[in-house]
Amino acid sequence: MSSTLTARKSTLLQMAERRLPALTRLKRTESLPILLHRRRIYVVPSRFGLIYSFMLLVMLIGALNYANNPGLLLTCLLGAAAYQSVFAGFRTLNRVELRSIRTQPCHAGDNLRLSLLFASAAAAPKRSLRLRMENAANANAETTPIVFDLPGDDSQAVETTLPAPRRGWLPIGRVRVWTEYPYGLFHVWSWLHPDQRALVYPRLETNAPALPQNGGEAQAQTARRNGDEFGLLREYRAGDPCRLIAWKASARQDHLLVKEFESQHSREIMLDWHRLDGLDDEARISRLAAWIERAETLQTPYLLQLPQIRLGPALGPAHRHACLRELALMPGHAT
Amino acid sequence: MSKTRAPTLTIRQFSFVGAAVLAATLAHAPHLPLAISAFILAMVAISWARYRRTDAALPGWVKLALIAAFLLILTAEYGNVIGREPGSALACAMLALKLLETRIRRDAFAAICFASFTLMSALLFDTSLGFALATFAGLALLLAALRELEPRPAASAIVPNLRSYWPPLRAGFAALGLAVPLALCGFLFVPRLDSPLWRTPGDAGGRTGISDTMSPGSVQSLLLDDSAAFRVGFDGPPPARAQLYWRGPVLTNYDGETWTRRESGFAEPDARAVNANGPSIGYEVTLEPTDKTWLFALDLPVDIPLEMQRGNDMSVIRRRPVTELFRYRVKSALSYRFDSVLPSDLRRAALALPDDFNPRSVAQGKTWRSELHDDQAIIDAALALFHASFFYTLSPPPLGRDSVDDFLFDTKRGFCEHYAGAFVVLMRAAGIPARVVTGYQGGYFHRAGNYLLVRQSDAHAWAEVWLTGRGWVRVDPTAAVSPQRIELGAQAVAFGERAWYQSDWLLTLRNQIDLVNRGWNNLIVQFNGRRQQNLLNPFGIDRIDPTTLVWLLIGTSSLLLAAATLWAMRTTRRRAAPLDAAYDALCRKLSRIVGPRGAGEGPRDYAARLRTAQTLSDRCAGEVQRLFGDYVGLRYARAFSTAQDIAEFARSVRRLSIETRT
Repeated sequence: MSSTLTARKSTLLQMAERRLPALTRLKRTESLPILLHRRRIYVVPSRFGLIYSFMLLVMLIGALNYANNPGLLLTCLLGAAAYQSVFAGFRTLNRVELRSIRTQPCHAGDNLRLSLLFASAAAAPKRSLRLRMENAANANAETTPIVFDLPGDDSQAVETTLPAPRRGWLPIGRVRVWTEYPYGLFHVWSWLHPDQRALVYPRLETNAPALPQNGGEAQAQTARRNGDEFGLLREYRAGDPCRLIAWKASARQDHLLVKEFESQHSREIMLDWHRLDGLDDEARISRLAAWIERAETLQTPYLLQLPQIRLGPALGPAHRHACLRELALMPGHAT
Repeated sequence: MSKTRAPTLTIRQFSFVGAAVLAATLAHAPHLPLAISAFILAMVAISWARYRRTDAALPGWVKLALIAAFLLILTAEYGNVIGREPGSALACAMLALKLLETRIRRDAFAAICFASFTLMSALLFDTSLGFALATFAGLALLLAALRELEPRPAASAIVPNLRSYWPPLRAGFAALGLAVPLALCGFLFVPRLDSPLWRTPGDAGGRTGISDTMSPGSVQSLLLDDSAAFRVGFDGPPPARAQLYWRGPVLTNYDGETWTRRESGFAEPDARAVNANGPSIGYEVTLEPTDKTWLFALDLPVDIPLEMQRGNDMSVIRRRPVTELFRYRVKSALSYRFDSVLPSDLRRAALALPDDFNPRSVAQGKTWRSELHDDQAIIDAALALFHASFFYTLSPPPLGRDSVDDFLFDTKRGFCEHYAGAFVVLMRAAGIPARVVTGYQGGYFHRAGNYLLVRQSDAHAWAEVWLTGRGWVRVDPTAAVSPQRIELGAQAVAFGERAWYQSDWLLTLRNQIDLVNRGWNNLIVQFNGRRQQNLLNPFGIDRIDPTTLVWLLIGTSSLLLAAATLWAMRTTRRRAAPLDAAYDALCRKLSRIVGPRGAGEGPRDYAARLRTAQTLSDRCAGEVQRLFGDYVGLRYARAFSTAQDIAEFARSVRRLSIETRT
């Protein structure tokens, strides 16, 4: 008995999927590109549309009451033009395609910046399209929507943002695209639910302590000496080779100064998960992320030691991204 | 949840809304008193000037003060605020005040909504073709304003020049043009009401036309008015121009200055009163609104519709004033004899002259009576007098208290009403029962349209005398002075006294163009419930009842909407973008090897499938993988790939030959 019910239900769902994809696609994500077509575009009269219909009715009764045929003709003209605007509205949304979504990773707590590439398969330009990100995390539903036009046969990038409250993968979520073009009488809308997600870097610790100086490894010390780029002068310490003493500079001081040479490896720092005892996992992640950003600003190579992986030492956007990505995707967060 | 403040309108949007409001109020300007029009136009102008400066909200007391001020003006002009005229004035003022407080999109919507209604109501006062077309143009402006209210992307700024105002207007006209078929469906099939749901008092207004009184100068303005009075379609050939006397109110009472109708004039006439000699002529009159109850018929109406009445002076009246275009069918006898026996009270009334007025004229009449004895001789003497020394002009010199005396013996120039009035006074003084008949004379016969156009300028007054054995006989003293007046029309005679826009060739042109007006009146204005019911007569359906009309309305509009839906959903097969075309070609080539690419299968997935299938030769597989890499790069790595790169990719795809592993 229950098996037949289930079978029937699945048949129904399949049929719904075939006939009314938009209904089921509300729940299901789709791969890009997503093309809007008549089976997934919905139309209802807007509130103004309803008020306007009422006004047209009043005009109709007035014209009929006074047996005023020119007035009746005017009412009919206006009514026909108003109701036919539903087709213009539909055509505005019809054949709009979401081609791709580009995201720029951000830190948790910031707004994720997205660039949605919309394209129009129609020759005529489309006007006054509006969109809003309906992601569940987006609490403020009253935000003013983003308005954009689409040139005919061309694409248009639409910039928007999405709040990113926590690290890890952030699904783009549903995108509501609608228009009330041309007269604001009909609300024509559709849902887009791309299966895209964006990476959100961990939250940066505010007022994080300074970078851990002195990675402390002997090998680093030696490596530093082998460098050949002139860096800065420092006080003489016992054991420094004589050839490194900056005699001219020392003559002006009352103590000896030593030239310090810098190389790519010479000043690298070690960002080690295990040395941050006493902090919980999230705090460690936040601090490491903050340190990575600081190291990037100071152009100091760094090495990230995580429980499961060791990255670097290196410097630059790719390394930064790799490190922050590992941190962002660290298990332990309820995502 | 904090609701974000709605953005205020841009000045461009406000200008469009203001223009729409202006159009709606201007449509009412012709029938509103000057003070009210000025108040409303000032409101609109002030709103716009204010919005240019600030979009701050208007303080409440200012609005209240303005409303109070307007109500004062309104009551001063009309005395009340109920009725069609004051109601329309009130609507215009409210609309203008709404514009004054319009700041955000919602206000603008409300203003446009109400402007639509105001524009429509203007048609209650004027149903002419030109005016209707002007209001339709106003509709295009309304639609343009609505279109302009749609939000625009922040980046796209419109170049603020005058030309940028045209595209939305053009779109409005186009939308109206496209709406015509559906609108006609509605117009044809919306069932008309049998009787009005409500009626407002004071629906009658001051329209020009023949009045039921005549005093010196009363028809003067009418004779210069070129607007149409009525149009006539004859069943047979039209009568000769000299016979086209359109009988209106018959004026018997005279108080020395003004001619008025006799009170008891509407008793049903004795059926034997009229004897038609010869065949009667049938015709249909389409009367422009007069706000009066009397109608016009050729001398002499013998057969009138049941809902109309014929007085014992043979003038035709209707119970309700003619407030909209009115069509009626009458039969008239051109040759007739009526009232062979004159009732004594009528005789008394037709001989009465006020005491102490026009002594010289009365003396002249008495002299003729004592010298000539014969009625016909007296009439001829009077006509000869006019013919000898009188002059026809539309701008006569002013007359004193004894106006007939002054006219007859001093100024000797005037137009129809002077001649008719003076003639009747002379006849009565001579003891011949006489009265003044007002109406129209002549008309322009439109050959192409096969109808007669009678203008207000064809207004005329003539006399009727009662002769023993012959009854009432029409005498037109104006014809004695100026026969051309009857042959050519008042304006042709008064050549040189007309403004430039009344010149001959222009009048001819306007006579020709009147065909369009007649068509408009016939097809649109006069399309009443009766004609609606007979709409399908050509298809063999006798009468359409309202239920069928509703079904017809639903059916035809559904058909039209279905056609529009097909149009909206059509997808023109277009050439794919070059990159897509090349990629499709690549996938087609490969589909023979590993089957077609799935709907949701991306280039990388498909390439991976090709790799795992291992059916291609090594060299070919490498090439294919490189192509997929190129495609991914072109499609996704760059926002806009250069045409050169795409062309290169397309060439590579064409060159690719599929080699399978042997």
